[in-house]
Amino acid sequence: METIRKPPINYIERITATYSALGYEPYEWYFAKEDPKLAAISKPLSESRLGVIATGGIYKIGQVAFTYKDDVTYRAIPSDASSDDLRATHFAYDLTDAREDINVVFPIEALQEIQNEGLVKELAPSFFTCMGGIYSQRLVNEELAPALVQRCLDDEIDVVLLIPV
Amino acid sequence: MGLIAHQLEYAGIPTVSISTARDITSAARTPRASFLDFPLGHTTGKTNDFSLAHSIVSQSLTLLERTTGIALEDLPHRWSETDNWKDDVFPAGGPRKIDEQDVIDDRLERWEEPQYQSEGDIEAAIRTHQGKECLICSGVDY
Repeated sequence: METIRKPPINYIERITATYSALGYEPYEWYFAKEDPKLAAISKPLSESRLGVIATGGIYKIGQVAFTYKDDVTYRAIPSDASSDDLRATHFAYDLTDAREDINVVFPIEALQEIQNEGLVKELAPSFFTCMGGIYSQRLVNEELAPALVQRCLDDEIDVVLLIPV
Repeated sequence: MGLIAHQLEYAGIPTVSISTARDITSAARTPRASFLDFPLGHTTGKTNDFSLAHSIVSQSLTLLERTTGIALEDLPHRWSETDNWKDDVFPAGGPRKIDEQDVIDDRLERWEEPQYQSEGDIEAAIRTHQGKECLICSGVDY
């Protein structure tokens, strides 16, 4: 059977049209005006400490869950956590599969294996999680992002894997 | 996530992203990213498929060593035999052009209280914080 490939979904166009039809306030998409300054890779991956930031609304049992209204807090998930202790909560994506297997949005088992294999030197002690779909770019820019950057610096993280949902 | 990536890079920490929304990642000029053409909610694969997650994560990480500038690389994995799943995602604005009155609101309400996955999680969070053993939460002022 011939398999037809369709182009990637244009989410900005489709979500803008959907929100407009539903009478929602338009989402403030982030269009970067210029290329960002890139950090230089200072050492091989195999000698690097890897951090992770994921936006799927993931928390560990015992932590306070996220709210659904412009929540710009984050949670620190121990990098040796078990999948069974992790939860997902979010208003903007279908949680069914994430709640069956958190690894579809937070690949903790693959990351632990990658450390064992030596692709990276080590995992950071904690991974960080937050919500996505935050309406206020100002809050992300002035509160959430600086807090996460500071944690990554404090934890002497060399490179960060970002996992948006 | 583009905003967070840019601040990390500015602070001297290189980043690599995995994206399932090519246009959003491209608009944000995300520094280094791999694109996985899967439905939202599956940024690192499918349920109970460890080797898929491992492949997605390891291929994405090696972008850090394989690129020097802005990069958006397509991963080879496919969600299904056909790409028909794309027709039903936010169909307003899509190729099928549906009527405005047929647009469905499937977002959850923007509750201002914490939204737990299960009742048991609420009790666990109360226990953690009453016992002042909260070494695992952070970034939140309790």
